[in-house]
Amino acid sequence: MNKLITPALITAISLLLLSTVSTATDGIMVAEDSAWVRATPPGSKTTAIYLTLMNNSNTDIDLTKVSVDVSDRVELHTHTNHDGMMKMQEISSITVPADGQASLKPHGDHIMVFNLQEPLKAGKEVSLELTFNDGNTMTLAIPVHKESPVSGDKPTNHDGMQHHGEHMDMKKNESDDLHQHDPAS
Amino acid sequence: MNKFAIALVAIAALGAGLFFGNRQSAPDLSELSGFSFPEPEALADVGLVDHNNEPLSETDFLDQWTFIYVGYTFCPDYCPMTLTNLNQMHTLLSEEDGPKATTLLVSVDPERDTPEHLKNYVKYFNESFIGATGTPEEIRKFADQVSAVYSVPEPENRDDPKNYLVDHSSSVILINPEAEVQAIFTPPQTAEALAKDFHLLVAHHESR
Ligand SMILES: [Cu+2]
Repeated sequence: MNKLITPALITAISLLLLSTVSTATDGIMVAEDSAWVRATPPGSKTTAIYLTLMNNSNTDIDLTKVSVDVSDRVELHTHTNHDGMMKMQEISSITVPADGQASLKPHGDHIMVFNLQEPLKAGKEVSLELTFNDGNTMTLAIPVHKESPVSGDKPTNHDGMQHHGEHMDMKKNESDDLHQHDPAS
Repeated sequence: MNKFAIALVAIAALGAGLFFGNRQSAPDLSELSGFSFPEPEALADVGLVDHNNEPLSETDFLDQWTFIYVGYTFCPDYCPMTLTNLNQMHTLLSEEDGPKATTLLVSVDPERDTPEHLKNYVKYFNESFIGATGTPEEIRKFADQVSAVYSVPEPENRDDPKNYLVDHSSSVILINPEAEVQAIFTPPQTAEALAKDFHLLVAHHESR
């Protein structure tokens, strides 16, 4: 069996890991294939980014800031129903509960991007930096899609995992301050 | 059990099959995922402009089924999502031999959504889609008739003069070939559910 693990295979696996999951901060990881950004119609200056964050530590962790390489204005947003109208509102953070997850998906919480320099075309990638209240950051490249690539991603606010138990193991940031309460450490 | 009894059971089963079979073929609106108005009201006094800057009145809705969404193109989530679903529904309808429909996006944000911009926007989702807008008064009058609500912020309430957001309801409305408001669908509106409802409503409409 071990003979099958050739250097080429290892390289292939590493590349796969890089493209689907990014480096995780302690306790936080992005569910596999959950992250995407909506392609924009001609002339459109706004879009939304969706992803599922998973927290395997025993403390809540807040997503507090997001930046992208295609715009200088990004906000965390939620949707509320206001007299029958859908209202988008900026929120200061999105909590990823201890041993739980936060699903950013259509019609719910999302990362709102304004001032797009140019239209986002399906097939491209956007580079994202997420900042958390524990001081950790995470960078990842996410795909641009015209339609939701997440199977069963019906725009409701239930918070089930899209692919049960299929997410990748997180890649630990071994260099520094691992959370002492992180059960995985 | 003798042969006579078996024959009786068979006849009873056949009868039940016919009975339930008949019931199924009649359009049963209780299966709708949306809501059908029992007494649809006709559109009146419509004074919008389409994406070619041509006038759009209530007579333009006659003799066809039209899905309407009321929104704006600056919208990053609900509008593109709904138009994507409507496009998928059109694909489902085009794959079969049944009735067809038109889709119309009415923008409540005429300040930013010019007819030309609307045209590029709707055609990104589906080549057959039509955009429309109008003066704030005409848009309000139309929206009221299709139960759409929205709120465009006054210029003095905008953080950023160009980047303001518009709150709006997110229902899809279906207009029947008599230009009457036939049905309303609230989110989530999946392509499959919309197509299924459309078939039921058309069948029901033809049987009335
Ligand atoms: Cu938003």
